[in-house]
Amino acid sequence: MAAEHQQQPVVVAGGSRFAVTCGLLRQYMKEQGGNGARRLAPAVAMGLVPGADAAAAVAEEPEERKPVLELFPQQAGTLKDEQQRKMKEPAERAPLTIFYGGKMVVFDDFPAEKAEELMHLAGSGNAAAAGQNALGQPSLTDMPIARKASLKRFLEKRKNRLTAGDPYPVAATESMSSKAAVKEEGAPWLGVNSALSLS
Amino acid sequence: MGGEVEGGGGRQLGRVLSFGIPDTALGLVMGYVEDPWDRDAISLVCRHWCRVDALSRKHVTVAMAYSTTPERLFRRFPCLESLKLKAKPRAAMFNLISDDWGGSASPWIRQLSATFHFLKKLHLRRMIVSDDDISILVRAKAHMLVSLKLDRCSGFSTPSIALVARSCKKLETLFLEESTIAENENDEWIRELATNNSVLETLNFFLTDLRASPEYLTLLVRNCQMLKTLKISECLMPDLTGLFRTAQTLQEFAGGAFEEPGQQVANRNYENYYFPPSLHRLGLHYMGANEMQILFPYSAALKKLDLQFTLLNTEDHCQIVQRCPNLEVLEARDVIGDRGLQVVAQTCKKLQRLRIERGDDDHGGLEDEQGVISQVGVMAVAQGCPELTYWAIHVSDITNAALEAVGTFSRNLNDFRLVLLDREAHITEFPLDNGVRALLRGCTKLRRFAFYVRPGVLTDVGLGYVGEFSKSIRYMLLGNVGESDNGIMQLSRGCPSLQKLELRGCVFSEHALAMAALQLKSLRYLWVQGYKASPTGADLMAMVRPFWNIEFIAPDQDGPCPDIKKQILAYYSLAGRRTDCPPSNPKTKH
Repeated sequence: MAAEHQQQPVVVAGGSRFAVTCGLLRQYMKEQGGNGARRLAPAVAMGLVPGADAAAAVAEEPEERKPVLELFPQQAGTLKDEQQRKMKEPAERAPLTIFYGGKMVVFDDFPAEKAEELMHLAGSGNAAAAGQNALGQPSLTDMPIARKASLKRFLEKRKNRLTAGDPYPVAATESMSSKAAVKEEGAPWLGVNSALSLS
Repeated sequence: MGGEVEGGGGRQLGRVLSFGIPDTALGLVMGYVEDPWDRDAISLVCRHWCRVDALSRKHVTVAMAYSTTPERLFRRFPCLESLKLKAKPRAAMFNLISDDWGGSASPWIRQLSATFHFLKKLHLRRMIVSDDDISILVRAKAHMLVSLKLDRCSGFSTPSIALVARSCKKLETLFLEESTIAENENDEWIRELATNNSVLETLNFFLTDLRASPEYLTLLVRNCQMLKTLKISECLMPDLTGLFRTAQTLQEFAGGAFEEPGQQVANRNYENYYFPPSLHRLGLHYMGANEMQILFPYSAALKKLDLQFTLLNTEDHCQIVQRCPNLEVLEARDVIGDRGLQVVAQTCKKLQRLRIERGDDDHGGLEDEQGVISQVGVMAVAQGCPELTYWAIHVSDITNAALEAVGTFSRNLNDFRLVLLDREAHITEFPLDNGVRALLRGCTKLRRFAFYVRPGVLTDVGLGYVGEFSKSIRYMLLGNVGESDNGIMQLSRGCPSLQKLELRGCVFSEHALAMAALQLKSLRYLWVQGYKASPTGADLMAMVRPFWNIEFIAPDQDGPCPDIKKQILAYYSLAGRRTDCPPSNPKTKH
């Protein structure tokens, strides 16, 4: 079980190791980038290196899809506790899993403050790279009221039936038999789960 | 009951009680406790009571399949006879969840086939069920299975249904409503069912694309003489006359179809169409004004009428409803109009459930112009139908006074859902904070509440009222509500019973959402789409806590509609993080 696995991070001295691993990660991404960055990166869940380089470095492997970020903090309480905890235990570590460009890297012990730094870096990098702005005041057009799939299908069929009455029916039967459900592409996905052990 | 056993004093009391009651007596009493909430409370009294409950629990609903594991469920409830599982978020029914989200039934079916020796009923909702899953299930449980419901599921094909039909001779309920089923052997499965089963009571493949021949259906009805409910896909009514002549025990029928305008046989007359006298619940697809006489001879006896999938206009609805004084359940689209609802209010005094769905209001829609529902219709129904327990309605306008009327008259409501459509640019009145307050104050039995409006209609103050006056509400859907983070914070200060919250199109920041999730004491499931997102979802980290899974789907800028995909799902889970996240996410190591 996932939680049990996460119970066994090896606690090793962190600062230097972080730098080394980050270096490795950077090198790794450059290598992957060599495959040819044919298109701009899609929405990057977390840009590790700010700027266009990072975006271009996202590998274009055939099986790879969207970049994803995963974080598994070892210990977590309420936010209040967290603040105190930070002061008391500055060297807290947790396993960190990063999905980037379709590849996964696991850091067994990752200092909490470094994680925060990384998140910050990633945030600013992504905003710059993807030019993505936060969702503003949602208006009616931004997020239309969704219609129940069953009714949507019926209303389409109904429209076809009504127009089928005219002498020039346009592919009415074809669309009648096709399902309304639209196949969607997978989306970048972030899973977070606390890593406490279960009984 | 739940409250008494939670505190320290209560726990002590529990021990005394458990010691005082002999096991046999406890077992006997437990046999009469069916309400899962009572059961939950009992199981908290002490370990012994928990064990007695665990061994005698017959049915469990797992509202979120990823909240536990099949192994864990079996360890606690080894004697389950009936299991209901739900996986994909409710939004999947609105095409808002990508097909690759997950929700496979495989791990569950493997476990319950190998263990759960008493399992007779299985209900899977919004899950992916493969043909292999079904064959494993059939191999293990064919001799036991009394009810199989694959409810809004996908991933399987008709040969698997044929296998079920052939093998499960005790099957009383086969339910496939709105499932996406690949059709590989036409409707051979119906013939299998007809020739192998004689105890079937419910067959439902409503809203599927499965073809069904009248011959096989008639054979089924002839052989399964206990059949009470038959809900089918589209099948022409003129071909079903033999079926209805044969089905003397049939109580409910839905589906069917009437001819398309081009195919109509001249002078076809439905006035004398025969339905069995036992039939009290009806829903006919594509019924238009020319066919609605089919109902008239039977309308006085009708208890349930589904007009959602018909071609009727407002006047037609009025004509039908005024002939149905005994309706307990009515479903229609908003084309029924205020006028139709006024007729409902005058006629249907026994009405318990009313659902008014959204019609074709898109640009260039074909709905009747009169088919608009406003405060007028809502107020009429509130005053005229005091028995209502469930009321879902799509309106084009609504006022504080109408909501107040609901609070004043509809005291039996336990589920109220209102969606304010965007077809009218202007509505009579907003904000509706006071109306919502009056409604929640009056409808004290409410357990579920949905309020989907537009920006400005429910302010932060209104959200504060929702928090304050929803003591017993367990499920809530709010759309386009609030003005700032303060709104969700106000709400989260109350709502002591809220377990499941869905938010859509609100202005709340990730941080506020996270703080609200921490503050809502009973919350165990949160789904949000449309919010002030940070680029990484980092602010959600504020709600990280033990056993709380957070799934964050970032917007995909390549996709056609990024906002649809951007969503947060968070839920309590004893199962740890799930491993079958969308395939867009590479396989994880754990």
